[in-house]
Amino acid sequence: MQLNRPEHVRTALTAFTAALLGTHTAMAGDAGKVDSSLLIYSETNRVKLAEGVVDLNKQMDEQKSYALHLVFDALTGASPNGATPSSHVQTFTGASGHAGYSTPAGEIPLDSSFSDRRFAVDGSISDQISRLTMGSVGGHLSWERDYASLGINGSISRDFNRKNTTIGMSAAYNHDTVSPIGGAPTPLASMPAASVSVGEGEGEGEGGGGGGGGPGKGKDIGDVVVSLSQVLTRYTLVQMNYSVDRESGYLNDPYKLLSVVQDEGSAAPGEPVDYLYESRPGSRTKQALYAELRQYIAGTATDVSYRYFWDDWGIRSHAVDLIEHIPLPRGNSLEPHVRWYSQTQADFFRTYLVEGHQIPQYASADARLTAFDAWTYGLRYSLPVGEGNELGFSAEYYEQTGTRAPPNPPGILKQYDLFPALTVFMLRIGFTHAL
Amino acid sequence: MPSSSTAPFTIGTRGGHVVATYSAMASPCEILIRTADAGEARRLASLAHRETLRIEHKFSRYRDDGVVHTINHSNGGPVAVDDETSRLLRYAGQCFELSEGRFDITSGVLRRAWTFDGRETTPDRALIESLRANVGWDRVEFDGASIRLPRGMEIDLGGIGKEYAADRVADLLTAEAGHGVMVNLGGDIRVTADGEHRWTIGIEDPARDRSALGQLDLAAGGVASSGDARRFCIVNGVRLGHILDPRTGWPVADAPRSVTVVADTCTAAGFLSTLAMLHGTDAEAFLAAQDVVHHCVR
Repeated sequence: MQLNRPEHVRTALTAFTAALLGTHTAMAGDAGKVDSSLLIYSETNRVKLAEGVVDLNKQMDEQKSYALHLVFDALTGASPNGATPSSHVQTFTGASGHAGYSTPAGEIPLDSSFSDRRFAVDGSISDQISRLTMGSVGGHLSWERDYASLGINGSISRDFNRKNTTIGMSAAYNHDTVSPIGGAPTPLASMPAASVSVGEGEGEGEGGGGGGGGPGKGKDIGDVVVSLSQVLTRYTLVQMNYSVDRESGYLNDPYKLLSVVQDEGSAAPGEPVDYLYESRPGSRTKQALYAELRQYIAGTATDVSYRYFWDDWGIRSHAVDLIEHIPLPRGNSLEPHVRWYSQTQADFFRTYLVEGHQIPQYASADARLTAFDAWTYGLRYSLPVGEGNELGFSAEYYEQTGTRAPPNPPGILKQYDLFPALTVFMLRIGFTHAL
Repeated sequence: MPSSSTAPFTIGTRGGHVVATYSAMASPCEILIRTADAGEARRLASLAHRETLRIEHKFSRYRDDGVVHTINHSNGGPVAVDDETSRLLRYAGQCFELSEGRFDITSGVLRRAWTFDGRETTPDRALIESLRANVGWDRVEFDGASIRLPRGMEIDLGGIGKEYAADRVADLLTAEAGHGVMVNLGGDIRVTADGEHRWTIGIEDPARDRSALGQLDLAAGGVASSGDARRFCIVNGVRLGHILDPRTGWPVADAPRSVTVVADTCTAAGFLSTLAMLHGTDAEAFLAAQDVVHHCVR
């Protein structure tokens, strides 16, 4: 038999090994993984949140994969309602429309009826479209007592230059419905006295769907992200993206108020005479540029990123983020993290309105729309637990500083800190299980 | 918790690559990956580790949950096999044909008659003859979907498994990473093309621990060695290496101490190096006829 002559062995062997190795079945591959985590978020004296997250990734074959992301969180505590402190006790209508709450003299009014549960689910399918092109489509659904969101998204990315360059584009559309408890208040209308139902519709509680457009207010959000990632050297990776996001519809926070205070020369300068519901423009266009550099040096990875954000509400922000990934013996690793953030205030941000002055078309005292700086310090430690599993612990401390109050507030407001610092502790325990 | 956990792999860097090391198939295993991303390195290392363990568990004859154990304990009955097992068995059959019966996955039982501890020994000829009755791939019924071993026979994929795993892991990581990698499972090596990069592989002299015999410079391909200088016995003053010829039941006379072969894949290199050993005195002639890069140590 010709086959058995030594010089023919190699030729035949090439065909035999190709048959053995050529097909890719029964591969362990990235069969999938489940990430689960529990987050405890605690603002000092304010909002507390517990959040459970389950992430499922399932690789069906070498191209196709499915992802499912489930979030459940429960939130309690108090949040500033936008009103200024007073030398008297202040009483506000509660979010329920009936149960009011009072703020002691001299304190920043906090809406203590803040309590909610949120459930969110995201799913997506990714598949290879051609040898170098990946695509994905997904959906999003979230629900809480007074807010629901429904969305779709898709992305496409293509590798170039022997996979050293990846260009991607993604787009998402969400339709959100805000159903404020007690109905959506009329912007810049006075908050009624406690124990009186509020709202422009007849909404008594959620889903009432009465006249005047009902309690549900819609909001449409579309965004597009264009991204580029480039392997520069064997140790260096750069990623950049530009995003634009357009929101339109009901963009107010229905629970935020503005105090109308008495002017200098009045009977009680700085004391509130009225509380108005906030009023924001009906649209917002946000844009951001993001750049990230990942450098691998002697086993550690350094990740530096910068993000510049601007919108047509007048907010500009800068964020610089630094993460160091330090591998430790036996598969353990440590990740210190520091982040600096600074933003300017929205054009229509007002700490308060002054009695007798013209009321602007748009005004909000929401602390998130003011100018502030913030630092975040974090540390994550992860360790392998058995085959392919990983347990991670992370702790973060967030501190908001440099919040700026208007230079010369009337009367009694001079003696109060209108923006007390916000500090937050976050603890997260996560477990990754390989399927 | 932390103290009782076993780290599946460790990660470091070497010569511009991330190197992940783990232990599997009774060997130190090493993966070299080019990436600047620690998370990506960990993901690929985890994939490599899992794929190696999967193959080890599935085809080890020592694990009672593997397919080889099932086949070896079938008492003469047929055993249905999955696609991957079928392909490995078909390949083993082809190796048997190609080697004219020298390479035989049923020959493992012969090891019961031999102890390769470097000492003078008197072989038990009766035992060897009785064991030979249970050797011979040509007596196995295999139709691609199921296998039936005559009672008393056993198969051992140890001569194929580690090389096969090196190729599978390398192919898997290359597809996942989008660039070439090096996979070294205890000396069974496979490298895949990574642009202009060439891989340097040192060949150790089995007779002198850790001294390099030479270096290979490869863009892509497989490297495997056969032979273990420490495993031999002496019969009537003649040194016999541990490679057994299934056709006789005896160690191959005048086999090289070690043979290292470079081929397209680690699986092919492994077969060629083993078959060269089985050619004994003619090992060099056999290798020369194959037109492959090789090192042969006498």
